[in-house]
Amino acid sequence: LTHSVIIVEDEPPARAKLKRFLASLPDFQVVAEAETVEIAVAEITTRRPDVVYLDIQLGERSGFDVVDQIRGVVSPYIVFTTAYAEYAVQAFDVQALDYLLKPFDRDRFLRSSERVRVALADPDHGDLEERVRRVLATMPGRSVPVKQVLVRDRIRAYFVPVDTIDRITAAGNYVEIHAAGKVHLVREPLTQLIAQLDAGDFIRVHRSHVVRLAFIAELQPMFHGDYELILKNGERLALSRRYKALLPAAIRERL
Amino acid sequence: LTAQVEPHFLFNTLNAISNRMHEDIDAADRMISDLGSLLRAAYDLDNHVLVPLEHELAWLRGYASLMTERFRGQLLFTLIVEPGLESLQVPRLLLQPLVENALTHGLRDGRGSLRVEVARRGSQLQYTISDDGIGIKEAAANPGTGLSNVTRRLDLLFPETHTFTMTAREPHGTVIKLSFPVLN
Repeated sequence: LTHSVIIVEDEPPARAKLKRFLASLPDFQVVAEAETVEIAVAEITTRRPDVVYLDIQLGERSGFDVVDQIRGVVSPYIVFTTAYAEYAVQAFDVQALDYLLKPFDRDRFLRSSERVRVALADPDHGDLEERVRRVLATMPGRSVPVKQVLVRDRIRAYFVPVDTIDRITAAGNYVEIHAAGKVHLVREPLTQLIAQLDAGDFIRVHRSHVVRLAFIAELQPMFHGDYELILKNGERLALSRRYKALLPAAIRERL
Repeated sequence: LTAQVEPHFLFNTLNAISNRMHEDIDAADRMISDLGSLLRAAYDLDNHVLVPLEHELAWLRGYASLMTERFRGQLLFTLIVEPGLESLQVPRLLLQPLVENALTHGLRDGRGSLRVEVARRGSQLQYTISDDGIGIKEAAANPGTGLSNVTRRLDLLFPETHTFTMTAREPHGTVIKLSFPVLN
């Protein structure tokens, strides 16, 4: 299985360097190169590559122009390459897979290519599940969300009121229910548990984390397109790029 | 006044060197040496107002050869200097903003040609910088801070005794001519 690649760089040496690195990877194949925004948009929309290595500074134009123009048509993974970190925040916003700062060496490039492989091999349909969960929650005839969750430990079985739950985290075969400063273990898949909760109150922010919307205090951008959520009790949680797009607009706009 | 080595310029040049050394180690060596010249000019804290023309030309050659490497096959740079002028005193780094402006804003997608001529016209020294890029009108929509910096310095150093003109070049492009008194 080969991954098709398009390189968008306005400087020939920068293209040559990426091509040399990519040539050592038998599973990556460069299908086109582009040196301007126009050529890049044409090549990406017709060839539909798996991944685009995209320079941010393209003469007087910008790699973000390319992202804007292919949006809604194709969605390759994007690895930004740039000489200067001033655009990092913008790159997070367009959910780049990675951000290579020039000059980068082979090791750094290979780490990035591994990230591409992982993303292509496991598209993590958790975000799709989450979309479905929210759509289902708005449909008429849907069962009413539960008010309490049954927890069993060795000694007893008891109910945890849903309105005391701050967050829920997958941990191996269990999920941890964090409620009112205590942690309760439930042997149930995360997806199944949260299907019973109100999709408007609890949102999935990571493959393993579900958080009460009202319990989020702050969002902080991290490198490589991920964010960190700071909760009202000071705990920090990773927010994957994939789930960021699913945050309610009111929260995303605070970024 | 200090020379600017813009971060983008520096990092893109390092990236180009890291590629070139896999192709031609001597060429990569020259690039490092050229980059060294530019950094040396940037770190020149003596802040001379006037320098020998040959210092200006050393900066220009280094800058031009790095840009030619980075836009290999896309950029043609020509420098024509009348012999015997090398030791004349000229304003330090007057050429830098003009040449950078022509290369970064004037040329289309990094393609085109840039020509710099230095000649003596009687008691004046004349610089002519011409490109075949987007031309004055479009360039004016995207003005570099460089041009006003140059005219201000000429006003201060040579009030009434300098000239500065910017005209359209046929069929396209821009010509900048400036002159100031010959100083030994």
